[in-house]
Amino acid sequence: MTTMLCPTRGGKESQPNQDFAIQYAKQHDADLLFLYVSDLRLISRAGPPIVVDIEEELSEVGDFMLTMAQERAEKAGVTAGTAVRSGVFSDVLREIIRENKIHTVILGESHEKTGVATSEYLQHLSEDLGRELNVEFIVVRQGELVFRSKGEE
Amino acid sequence: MGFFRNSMKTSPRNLRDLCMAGLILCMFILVSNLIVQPGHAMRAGEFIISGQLQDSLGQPVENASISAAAHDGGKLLGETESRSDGTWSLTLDAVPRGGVDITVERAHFQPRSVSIDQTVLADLGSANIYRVDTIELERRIDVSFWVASLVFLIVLLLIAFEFLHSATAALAGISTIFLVSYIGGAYSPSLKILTFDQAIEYIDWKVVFLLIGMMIIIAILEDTGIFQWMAFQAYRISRGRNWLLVVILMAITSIASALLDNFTTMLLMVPISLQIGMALGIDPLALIIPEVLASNVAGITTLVGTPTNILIGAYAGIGFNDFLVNQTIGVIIALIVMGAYVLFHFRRELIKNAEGISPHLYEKLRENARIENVGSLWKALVVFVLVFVGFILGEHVDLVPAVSALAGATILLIWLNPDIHQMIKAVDWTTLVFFMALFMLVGAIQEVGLISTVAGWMAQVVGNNLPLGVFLIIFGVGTLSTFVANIPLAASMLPIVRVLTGSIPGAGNLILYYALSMGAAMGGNGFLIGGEANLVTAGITEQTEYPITFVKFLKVGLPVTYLTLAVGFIWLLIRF
Repeated sequence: MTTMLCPTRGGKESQPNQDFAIQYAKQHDADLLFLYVSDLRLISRAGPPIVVDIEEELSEVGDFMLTMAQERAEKAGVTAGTAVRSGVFSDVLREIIRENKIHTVILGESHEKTGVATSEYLQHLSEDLGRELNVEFIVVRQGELVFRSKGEE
Repeated sequence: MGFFRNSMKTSPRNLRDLCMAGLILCMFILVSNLIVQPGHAMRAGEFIISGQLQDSLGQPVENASISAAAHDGGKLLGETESRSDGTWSLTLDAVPRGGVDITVERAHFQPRSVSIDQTVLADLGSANIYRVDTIELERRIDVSFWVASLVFLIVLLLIAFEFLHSATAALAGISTIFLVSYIGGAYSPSLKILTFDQAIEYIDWKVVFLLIGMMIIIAILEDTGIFQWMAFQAYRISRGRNWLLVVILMAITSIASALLDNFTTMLLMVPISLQIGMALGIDPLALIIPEVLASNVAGITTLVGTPTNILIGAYAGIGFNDFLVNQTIGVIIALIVMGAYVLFHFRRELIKNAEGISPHLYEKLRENARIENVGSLWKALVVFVLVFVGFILGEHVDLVPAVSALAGATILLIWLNPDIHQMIKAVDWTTLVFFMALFMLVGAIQEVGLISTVAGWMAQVVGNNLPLGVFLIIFGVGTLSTFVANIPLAASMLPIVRVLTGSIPGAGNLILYYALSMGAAMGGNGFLIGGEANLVTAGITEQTEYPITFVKFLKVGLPVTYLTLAVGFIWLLIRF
């Protein structure tokens, strides 16, 4: 059984992309791993030292979002797991791919065109990591396929 | 979370150290508040000359050097310095024959001389006290004025455009002032802007220690998870009525902001609000933006709710009760108006039918909003209430809020025994350093006369028109606060407001200080960059599919700013 990875930042706008990943995993009889990555560098610059354990707070947010996605995947008959991490997105992605022997990564473009999930960034990331790790990368926008790269092929 | 979880078993020695640290802090504050009035028993034959110094705006001039010399021969008879209220007194051994020349010298002012005629002294008869008419000193605008003003302006720009961290910018500013004063001053006296000793006197230690005490208390209280639990209860109570949820969340945020600081409040509220919004199937920003707007405004109902209130309270002697009595109703009305506007603005999101979530997700949400440590919560709440009782009752026995806060923090440290290293880390030293550097920097521009020059212009514009003064302060500061950090803005406005309070008839009730408080807080809602709470909220939401963009915030924040400023203005005119 292969495992596909779907990094997501949750929310309604991510659902079409998550649905694409669910259907794609179903077609290929694969398991799905939903991933949420928080990058605390953006927050720690904001002001005073953060007395709240913001990493834990955000991991709870991520866990909640991924559980929503997981429930929808399981309703569709796809076995899905979740992983919440903190760090630089590309580094975390590389780690998770290696740790879980990921076969395919499905990246969704951000609806708001903010943060890490811009079209250009995702295509660069897909090409670089796809070559480096020999993993298939699929970029989707609002549930529609935008770009596909297959590692060294 | 985890100050309690990770706390180690404390040895008696550690406990003793904790107690000692707390006692030393409290004693430091108590001693620093003892004002030693120099007494002087008059001896037979002595003669006293007294008077008062003020500047052209009627403000007292302190630390001026006053010397008395015999009219005949110029023999020095005595020297003294003016006090903080501008008064001075010179004790001479005997009534001088032939008259006295009084000379007043003060850096950044033109020197003045006053002669007391021999005949006037002779007419005193047996009286051995002579009071000189109030002496008005004229400002001397020299190169130090321009250097200090330029440095201050550059610091403000560095902070506004985020070229440097605010603390670094303020430190760079005051270091430049010192270097110019000591190195440049050695070559040209006109470059002596501010000495180190003078600068230290400008630091308001009551503010610094109040902040330290409150930061420790907040760090302990926030660790209990009480606010996340309250947000979850709001979700339960609203039962899918999204508008009601917004109202309750705004109320919770308002109360939390009045008691804690806005930054911490939003750090606690945003993650749970994101989850609630997603659980309901609505845009979580419809919950979060009203929360941050409410947090920026509601803090001004108490002395400790915002750093600017702490500054204003310490400077103008406005106590905890004064803020509560004079601002609360106005703020509640402003929050109601704000609530109505945000409900209208987010109406499309809020009328959506709430989506249900699975029992598993509901349980997860409940778990994420659980109270971390019920025992610690109760202890923290007991001490928190006691501290606030100290704030309220302390004013009647001259107990400064810093002492109540430090005592409360110390009790919590002993009672709850958290990891002391974590607690010390929880103190925001960056902000404290910023405050201290800023106090000195404002002192520098006060010394060279920039503050009195600006205040003079404002006094000319306002004249005797108090409503115009209130309008200018609340809307002027409010507008500037939309893009300038409100702490340096408020700190530099305080001396100006003091001058205006003295010059505008009817302003003695401190209405202009309340206008400053409202303007600085409400203006923070204008732009995303207007406050730290806004920025941290944006930082968290950026981690999800619901980022708060500059424009998104502006669309709701700017109208809310001017609506609440208008409410604040009307309220102050009614209240005073």
